[in-house]
Amino acid sequence: MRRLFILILAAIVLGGPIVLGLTAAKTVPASLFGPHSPNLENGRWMFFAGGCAACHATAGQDDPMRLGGGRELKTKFGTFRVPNISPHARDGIGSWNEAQFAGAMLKGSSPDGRHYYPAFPYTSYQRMRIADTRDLFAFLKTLPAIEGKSLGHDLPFPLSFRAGVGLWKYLYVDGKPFQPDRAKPESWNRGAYLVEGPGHCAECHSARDFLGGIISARRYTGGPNPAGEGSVPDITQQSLARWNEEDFVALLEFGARPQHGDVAGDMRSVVRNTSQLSADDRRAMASYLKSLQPGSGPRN
Amino acid sequence: MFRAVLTVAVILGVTGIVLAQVDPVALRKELMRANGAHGYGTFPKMLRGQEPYDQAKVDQAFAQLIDVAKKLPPLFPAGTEGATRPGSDYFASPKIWQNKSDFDGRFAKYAEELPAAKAKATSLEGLKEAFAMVRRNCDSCHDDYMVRK
Repeated sequence: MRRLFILILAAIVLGGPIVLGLTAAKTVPASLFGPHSPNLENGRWMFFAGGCAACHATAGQDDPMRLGGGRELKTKFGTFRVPNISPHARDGIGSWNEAQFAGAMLKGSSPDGRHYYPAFPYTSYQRMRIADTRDLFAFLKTLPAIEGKSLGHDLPFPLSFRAGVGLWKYLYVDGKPFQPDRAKPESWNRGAYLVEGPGHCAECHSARDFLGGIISARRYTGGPNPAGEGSVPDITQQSLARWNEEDFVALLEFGARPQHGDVAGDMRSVVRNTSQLSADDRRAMASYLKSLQPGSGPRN
Repeated sequence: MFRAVLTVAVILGVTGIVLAQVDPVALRKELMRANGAHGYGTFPKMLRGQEPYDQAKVDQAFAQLIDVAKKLPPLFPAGTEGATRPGSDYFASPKIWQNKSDFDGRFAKYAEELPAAKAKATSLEGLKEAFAMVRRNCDSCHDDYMVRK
């Protein structure tokens, strides 16, 4: 009995720091933020590539530049309420610095050291270049400040316990930036970066396990809609072999499926973003999308 | 007795054929596709300079949109929630029947705006504006009432 007690005590003393170490929110070191003159045009591309407004635009109005949040994401894990990311000093991100913003985008950590829930797709944003997050941050700062915080999330226990997200990140967030494939053309790599990083296409177009992590082998093969009715299609060549690159371009530009149909659901707001990208970037994305196989992209 | 059974069978058979012919799901999908041929074909091709502006084609396309807009609203009867056709993954959301008056209202607004849009489409510049009007109406319903299976 006494021995068991000592064992349990040892487990707490030794295991505690390990668990705390795993669950601590990671940051991006300030030393990585040397002098930088922000490129607002690139920030604007990142804003549209990242589809920020699709979730963060003030609920109940159509202006994508008003980022007051408030949209409810009803998922099987509970209801998430999207925060205000307008440059409002108290209610938005107006008082953040670049390192804090990069910490949110690349590590899923808040400035006060808490974990964000992965409804915020940092699992993809972690692939972004720091310079791109800096330009995006500078662009967001040019948008109108919106007053008002959104209400908190409605999550059942134990999901309401944020430290658990640290363990989740240990499984599904590797913190590796995008790795180009030198054997492939530059435009394909640009497309891969946009699709895997800011575009976060895999977040909806993949099947997930019971913990909500993407199943690597079923990356891009579609699955149930994570935040609404219906399902999200397989976009790999096993289903879309008949599509040519032009078809992908037309979809990203106009929301047109081959045979003259509209896209549905959240893909409609995705297209409102991709239609604002440069024609070169859409073509680059199409070139990467046309190469997708089940499980393409980085693995955790 | 035999005659009675035969009569009932004939009635059922005829009703079945009639019902099959006016299958509202198949018909509304066909009409939507006809609209799409203009929305993704006729108009954007001219607007992007892939085809020359052709007033006769524009008028014909608008006439067809106006005709389809009249035919579509009754093709969403109760009981066709979640129905689609083989080969299509897209269907009308059950929300339509929870908000039927809103849904019908959006169709009515579309039908009302179409003649005004047609009147604007007398030049390439006018077509741009007219097409944006039409597109807003497509979005109005497709944003909220169209789902992928």
